[in-house]
Amino acid sequence: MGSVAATLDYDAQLMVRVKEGDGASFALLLEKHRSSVIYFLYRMVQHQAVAEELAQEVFLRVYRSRATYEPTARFTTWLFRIATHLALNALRDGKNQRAEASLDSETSEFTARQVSDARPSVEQRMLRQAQMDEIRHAIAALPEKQRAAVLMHKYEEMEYSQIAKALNCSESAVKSLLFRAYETLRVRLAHMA
Amino acid sequence: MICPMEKGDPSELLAYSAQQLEGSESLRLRQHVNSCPACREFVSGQEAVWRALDAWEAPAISADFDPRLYRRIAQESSWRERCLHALGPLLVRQGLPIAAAACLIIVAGFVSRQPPNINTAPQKQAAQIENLQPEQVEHVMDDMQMLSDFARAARSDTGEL
Repeated sequence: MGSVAATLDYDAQLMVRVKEGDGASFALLLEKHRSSVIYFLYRMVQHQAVAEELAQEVFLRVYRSRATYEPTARFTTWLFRIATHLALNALRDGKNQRAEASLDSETSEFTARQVSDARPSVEQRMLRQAQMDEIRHAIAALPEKQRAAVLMHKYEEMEYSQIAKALNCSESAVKSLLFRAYETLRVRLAHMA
Repeated sequence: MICPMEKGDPSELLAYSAQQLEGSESLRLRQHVNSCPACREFVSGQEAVWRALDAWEAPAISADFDPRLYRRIAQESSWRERCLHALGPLLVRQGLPIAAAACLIIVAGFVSRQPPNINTAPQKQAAQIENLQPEQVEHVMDDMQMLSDFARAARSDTGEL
């Protein structure tokens, strides 16, 4: 047991403690991964309320699975496998219709934060808003699995092998997803260079 | 070195453009990119993508995210707690088999969660229930302890807010 525990990443060790009934370890995992899960889901579905709802379900499933948890992979791989699964289901259930409709409403939310942070001029705010809209639309236009792969690769800095486990596909498939996604983004965002 | 674009595997170029390579590996790619128009174009375009994605901020997270989650966890565990409280006096009485009390919890769980399986032989089902009883009771006790921990954590969060 000692040698097995030594090879576990720290988060997996925490989850093993959750399995043993340590509620404080669950709180630590939540504190550490809350933001990254919500931000990932937000960028997937592009609707903050839906993202938080899905994130709640992610952590609920982590909690429910504690009795049968086995550290066969890195904790973050498992966590994002759950998150990706829920996001893809949500998108296929048609919630993306709500997300696309909300892209315009999200801009006002973003603008408000920027104004309070740096007080740019009106022209700068409008330019930045237009750029953010373009980025969000470019990501939203990617096929769902390409989108998930890009978000995990870029924002979570996950390795190809981890993304493959999260998406339940091969490493070569992940590379293919990423290369095609980035090629699309390079073309679409080339004028922002 | 073999040109990544000719090889059809731009993994190295992705890592290089994200400044994830170090030392001799980075130097090797830099020298190649400087002499290869296709790779130079790839890196330039990819750097623009990284900058754009870096600039994409997510909205702030709701302040009540954690308390809401803990409430949902508590709600899920409350049905088990009600069953346990109802059977509490029986459980503390010496001599009363824990198996019988947990049997009631399991039956309640089956009734509330699953449709009746009329194809299962009664004797086989009873044997399975007896085998599960101690673990189920243990899980219920664990849930009560974790609820206590969550309540402390939720109060702590509320206090910080």
